[in-house]
Amino acid sequence: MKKMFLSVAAALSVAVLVAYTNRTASVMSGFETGTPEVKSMNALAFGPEGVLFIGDSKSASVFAVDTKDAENVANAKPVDIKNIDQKIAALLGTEAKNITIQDLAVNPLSKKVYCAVQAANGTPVLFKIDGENIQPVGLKDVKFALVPLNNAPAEDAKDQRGRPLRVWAISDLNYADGKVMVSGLSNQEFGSTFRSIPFPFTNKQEQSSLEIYHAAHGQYETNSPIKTFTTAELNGKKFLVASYTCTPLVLFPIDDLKPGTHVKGRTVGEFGAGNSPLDIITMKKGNDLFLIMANSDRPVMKIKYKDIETYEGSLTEPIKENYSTAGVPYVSFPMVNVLQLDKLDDTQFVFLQRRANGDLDIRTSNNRSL
Amino acid sequence: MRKRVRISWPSQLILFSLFLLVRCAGSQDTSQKNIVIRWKNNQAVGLSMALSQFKAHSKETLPELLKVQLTNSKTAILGDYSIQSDSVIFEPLIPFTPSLRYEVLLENRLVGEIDIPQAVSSTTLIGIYPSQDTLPENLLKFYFVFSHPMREGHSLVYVSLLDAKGDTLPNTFLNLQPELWNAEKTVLTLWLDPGRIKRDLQPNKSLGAPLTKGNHYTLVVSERWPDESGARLTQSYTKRFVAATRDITSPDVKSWTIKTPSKGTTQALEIHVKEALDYVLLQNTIWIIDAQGKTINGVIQVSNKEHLVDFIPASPWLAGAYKVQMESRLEDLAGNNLNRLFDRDITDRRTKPSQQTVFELNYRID
Repeated sequence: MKKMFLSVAAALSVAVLVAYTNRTASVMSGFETGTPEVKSMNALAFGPEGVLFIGDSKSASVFAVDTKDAENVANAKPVDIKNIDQKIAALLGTEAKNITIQDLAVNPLSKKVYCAVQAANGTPVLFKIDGENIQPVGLKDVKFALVPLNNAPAEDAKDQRGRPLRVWAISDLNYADGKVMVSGLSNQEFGSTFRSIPFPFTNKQEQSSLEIYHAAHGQYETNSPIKTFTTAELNGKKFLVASYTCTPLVLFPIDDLKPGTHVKGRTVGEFGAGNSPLDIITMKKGNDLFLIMANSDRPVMKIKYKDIETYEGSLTEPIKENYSTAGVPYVSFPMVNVLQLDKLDDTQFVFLQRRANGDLDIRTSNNRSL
Repeated sequence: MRKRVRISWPSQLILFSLFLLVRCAGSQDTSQKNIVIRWKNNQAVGLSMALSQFKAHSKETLPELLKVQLTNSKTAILGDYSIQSDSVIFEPLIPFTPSLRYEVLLENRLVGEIDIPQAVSSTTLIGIYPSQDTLPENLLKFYFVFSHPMREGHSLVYVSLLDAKGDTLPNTFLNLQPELWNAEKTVLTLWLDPGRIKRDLQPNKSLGAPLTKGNHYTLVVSERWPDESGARLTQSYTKRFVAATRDITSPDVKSWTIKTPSKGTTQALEIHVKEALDYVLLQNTIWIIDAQGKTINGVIQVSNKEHLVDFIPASPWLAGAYKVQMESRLEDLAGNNLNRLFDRDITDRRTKPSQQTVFELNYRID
């Protein structure tokens, strides 16, 4: 009896310990406290627990920073700030022409908008926008982790001998299903590199480096760099949805993205030459999922994921007529010169827009527009 | 009816003199004595304000009471205040901008104004690579090497490609954000639009390739290009070249020749590459390995219009067998690397990419 009691007690203790461990296990348990040496902020994305990922091309690294901004807010207030560049410039003591807004990212918990700004001399500054309030986010004495994007430790060792380090220009950064995904281009050799990095970061450096081919045009394949991407589930399977300059939309099954492999994507849409995609997000209305894509030289486009799911083919023939489109159907929004997009909550998205009068505004759109 | 008040001319003169006196005294106090700009790398990174001018306040309260703002702005500039011996220091999040005027307020009363001087030009363009004046019509990129760090983000405003008639050719370069600067911001990589070079892609179909064999071009770099401090380049630059035959083969390392140095010296090992190769990749993809597989320390120098690579060892050469190792990512001027073509016809089996990551050449020093 006593033996049985002891066994039950031991089992209970283990159960309590496991439950406690599960409750307290945080993605930030391996973070250190200090001041991350962020040299540039080219792309932002949020992970779990208010962790902000900062893609830093200059130091060829991704930083994960604890924002301590993890209070869950279900519905966000719309953000509407006119002349956001002038307001940020005044806070920095300069003129709007001397700053660049590099990226916007909404914290999915607090629904606050984070904004990466680069000053003319290259200094990166992070801001948090809460309603009308624009606050700087300091990176002194924060909890953080980082993962380098250079290929192998041996390469870094070589670089210590005074040869110029390769810069890894980050074009986009996203987090999904325990992985930080980064697309980019080196300043030396030509190629498309896409990395999928497990988070929390490990010492094992299990990052995948992929060259992606999109055989868009039958005879010639290309490995041009991804400009912007998102992830989506189509017919029960996870996909990377990537867009390239001039402007094919290409699907890659995420399961196929393995280290060292060459993956051939399926081109499902061509949205016109002379244009470059700037940002992609996924929004939902009712049971329908939509891809929203901002462009350099075309209006914001809306594409139904159902249309992508049912589009069986892959575009392999060049488009005959200049600037025409092909593949999945899309709808153009009456929204032009949108530079950045992010989902604010289930029914709203924020966007950075250069207005016809030259003003740069942050605005919010609700899902009525979908 | 409005009443006009007139001041007699002697009174006007006295008032004007008084105004000048106050103005001069004020500017001397603020810009030369009480508020001083702190400089670092030619950038105004802070203000140093003598504590003596704030005697009525305890120094602990000054960070709360002081405010620095752009003249004509009501927004306090973000930054850190600290006390260092007899001064209070303000360091803004980003350096002050040249040619702008700032004011310091204490409890919203003006303490003084300070002008940030205009930045002085001293930055030069050291080189444009490839340095040859005959380039393949499928040329992929240019490197621009500067003497000092440059301002990022709007490079395409300052670089243009002109045809033989002097007309600017549109959509030549790929507008990439972020731009491809090295970490020091002294080397910019600019791609000629790969979509126009690659056969059959939409931009190639609609606009054609950026360069055409036999045509003459001028690459122009404007002196208006600002460096990191906001100063222009000291002059504009041009590079004239002619487009030649399309390069459709990978570099062939077997055709390279090696001139070996004498043992016991630190003479350069000369690697003569058959065709001009990528200036930056030549410096980054070639390694010298000894018979034990150990990397030899040394410096790589690229010269002779990117046809010659000199490896100068840090220590004198020892007799023995060596290898020159080349990483497969080494490219020629058209982006063809050691194991694949930039623009490959997938129906042509002869151009199937190789998976070899390192190529080697052997040599001996006796």
